[in-house]
Amino acid sequence: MHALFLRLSSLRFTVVLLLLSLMLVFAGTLAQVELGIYRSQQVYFESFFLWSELFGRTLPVLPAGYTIGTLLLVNLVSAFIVRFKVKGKHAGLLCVHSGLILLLLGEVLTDVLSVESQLRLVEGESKDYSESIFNYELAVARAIDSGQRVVAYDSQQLVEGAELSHAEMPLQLEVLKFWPNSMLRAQSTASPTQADSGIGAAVSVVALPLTGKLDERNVPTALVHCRVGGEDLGTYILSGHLGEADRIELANGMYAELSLRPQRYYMASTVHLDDFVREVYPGTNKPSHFESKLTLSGGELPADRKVAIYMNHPLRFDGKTFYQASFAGEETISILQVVQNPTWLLPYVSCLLITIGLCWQSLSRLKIRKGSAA
Amino acid sequence: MKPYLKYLTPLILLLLVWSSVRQPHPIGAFNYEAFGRLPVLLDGRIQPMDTVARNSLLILSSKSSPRVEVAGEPVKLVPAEWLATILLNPEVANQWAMIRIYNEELKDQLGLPLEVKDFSFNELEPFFGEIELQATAARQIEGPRRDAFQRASVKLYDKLILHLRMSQSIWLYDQDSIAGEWGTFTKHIASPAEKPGLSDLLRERYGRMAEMSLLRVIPESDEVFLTIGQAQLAGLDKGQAHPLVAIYLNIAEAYQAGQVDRFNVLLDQVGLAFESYAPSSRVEVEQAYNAFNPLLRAMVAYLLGGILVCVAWVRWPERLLPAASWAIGIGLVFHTVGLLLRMYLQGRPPVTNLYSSAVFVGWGATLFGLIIERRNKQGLGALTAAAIGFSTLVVAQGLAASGDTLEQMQAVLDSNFWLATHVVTITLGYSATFLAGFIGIAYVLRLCANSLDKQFVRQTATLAFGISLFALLLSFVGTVLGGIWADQSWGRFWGWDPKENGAVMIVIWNAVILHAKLSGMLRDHGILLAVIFGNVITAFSWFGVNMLGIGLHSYGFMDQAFFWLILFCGSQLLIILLGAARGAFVSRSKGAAHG
Repeated sequence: MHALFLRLSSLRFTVVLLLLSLMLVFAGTLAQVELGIYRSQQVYFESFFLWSELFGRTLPVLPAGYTIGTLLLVNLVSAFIVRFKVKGKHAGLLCVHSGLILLLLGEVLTDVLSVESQLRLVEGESKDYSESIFNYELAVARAIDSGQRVVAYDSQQLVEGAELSHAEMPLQLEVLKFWPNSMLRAQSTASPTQADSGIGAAVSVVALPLTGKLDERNVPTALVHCRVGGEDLGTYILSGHLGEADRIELANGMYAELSLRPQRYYMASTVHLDDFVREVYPGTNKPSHFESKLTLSGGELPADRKVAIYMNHPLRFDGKTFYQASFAGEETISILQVVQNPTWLLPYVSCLLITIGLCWQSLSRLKIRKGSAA
Repeated sequence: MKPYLKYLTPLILLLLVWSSVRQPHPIGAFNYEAFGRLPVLLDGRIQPMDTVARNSLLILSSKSSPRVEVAGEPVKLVPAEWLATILLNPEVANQWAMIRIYNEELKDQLGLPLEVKDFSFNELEPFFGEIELQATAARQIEGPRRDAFQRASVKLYDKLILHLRMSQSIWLYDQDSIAGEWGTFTKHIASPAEKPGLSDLLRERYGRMAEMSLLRVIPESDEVFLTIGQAQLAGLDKGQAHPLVAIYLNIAEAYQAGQVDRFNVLLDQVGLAFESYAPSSRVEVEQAYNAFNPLLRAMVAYLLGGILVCVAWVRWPERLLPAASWAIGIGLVFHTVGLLLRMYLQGRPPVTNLYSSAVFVGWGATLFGLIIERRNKQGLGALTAAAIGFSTLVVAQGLAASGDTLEQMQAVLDSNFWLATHVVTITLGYSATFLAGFIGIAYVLRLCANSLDKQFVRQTATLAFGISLFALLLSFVGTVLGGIWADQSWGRFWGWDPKENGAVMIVIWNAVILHAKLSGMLRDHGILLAVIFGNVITAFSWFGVNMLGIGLHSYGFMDQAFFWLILFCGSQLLIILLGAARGAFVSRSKGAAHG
């Protein structure tokens, strides 16, 4: 057992792993040109292997981020078991390397646990939810006495032939077709519509290839057949491009609303955009300052709270952090980035550990020097 | 031993400072120095005319003092002289051939002679429509995917627009006389009822001018300057002309008529008007900075120092090595002065854009190199200091061609705290990695010249390894600080952004060297070769990631900077190979001798 750990903790192994990670980072960076940051991150860093077409089959050819990270962890932990000693010169090393372990783990946990979304507010508008940047959901809303009841399906459930039904929902839906990225065109004889009811009956869907570019989005569209009991209610085109929901009248004055919209994350309070300010350098269009002035209200807040979010000055609230990300329109629409990352403190702790370790190491080296000089 | 060698250092110092003594402008000539000192608002900051002149010339002609023909004779223009001419007497400036076109396809397209490099605005004006057409078409394509021709079209179009907007900054020169139009204007605002139709005409004219002119020369407050067109519109509203507009127009008139004395007196008047104006001391410092050009002086000193070290390794090391250190030290003083002045002018930490990062990387590496030289006095530290100092300043010069090097920051980067901590440490990490790498190069060169004794190799390797450790520390701390900044400003510690990846690659490579030495995989010779590869990685993360998409996609064409980057990386790999081959040869012949 000891021999195994000795092998696993070998410095040569460390060097090989570091070289592999160097190549991986290099390749992953170059790949961003083709794939965009988001996709290349998934392919190179947030996966176990790089896959490639070889001999007519898709085979894993090189270890990717998770594999190298795991092996580095194994290498480090083994070193902890058989090499490092908790005293003297080793204490600094120990500190540095435990910081590194924490940093690696923290990165994986962030990958898995953190949720990023956007809050887009027009001046004067209030919202109690933020929206996903990448994911869409099919939402069915039904009026009840105290407002609305919503059932939402993640876009991953929208595969062809899927039957969607829920005890809370009067409708039964069947997904006839799903386009992960799409474009809508006004329908004509050359490009007829695929739907027979609702707003979507005026448009025709064109499939688009998936994009990985930072400034482009994949906007999905679904073709859905709708029933209530045995009654046929028609086929609908639901698309992220359509701003409005389709309203379906039901028996006894009830109705349901169907839409394919960015996935929503609800917040504990309502956020109201009072004012968005954008300052530019004199005589140019180059922005020098953005700021959103907000009021938080409702939820657990005893009273309204006025806050300002600007560059390098985010708001931490309700377990989420709100950043000034961008703006749109003529200085009237503010776009805030909302990040929920329960492990955000981990990198700080690991950096602290590493810093302490490095200081310890340098100090003990100095001591040795002084000792040998005297 | 040559006793006179000890005078070498003072001589260098004298040479460098002496050539800096400001020459007073000759009597009986236009006072371009005073003209260059006038403040103007451009790109969001108040700067002297002199800076505007230099930056625009670099963009238009790739030189800050181009040669043009005046009355059939080639004359080298002072930057402020060119600016005075294009602003005040545009019809003359329009005849000067100084707009550079490199691309031959574009010259073919326009039917211009291939052997001519520089063209005047008047020569290019007939093709304006064609150039605009090509540039607009090229703009439809994403920047990185444009080919050489498309890139050149866009560039030329931008140059023409810049030239045109400059030439219409003080006056629209479609009128016969400035005095005549000014008379009409003042008469109209004195009694607007006399010719009510004139108001619309004037408004249309100054509205056009306010749109066209590039320079804002009329101060309204400390921060806000107006173009002359805007000042004239405001004059129409208020019924009162701005006095400075009148002076500027008089200056233009005097310049066109060749009235030297009147021109100089009027400039003094403007100077007085700006005396009480707050940012004017900064503007003066900037003009002095331009004129003194401390970074150029540093470059010369580094070059001299580097040559002295090389000579010293062949002859008179006792005298020449200290002289070399002194020369490089003098260079570092100039370098520091330049750095501090730039910090004062910007009111920011030293690194704010790619240009200033080059200046700072060189500064850091030269400082570290000189510290090493003080300790082991073999010329190795001095030579690497000189080499890095010189080459980074050359790189900086190349980068300066893209525009104002003291430009304003993007809002997201506007944080002096993080600029001072994260950016400075990461940049010093580049410096240290380059320093280790250049020591490796110096080792390979000496290894090729003659076989080295073990003692020297051991010392050099220990030195390079120590610097690489220092680089590991700096780049790691810098990367972590960057992560914290990212977490503070957009909520994620790490985002696999190209620049972040570049930084972490430097960290990993230095960590590889550390662990490879500890495991015995690399010994002295190996470490000295490994640190050279650090240069490749640093160059990639410094410049390469900024070019992602520039060179990689446009087949058959390489952007100039991309070409240099590839050349640099290739040369480093070649040196590593050379070192490895020579090392193998030396050890084999030694083995043969022993056996």
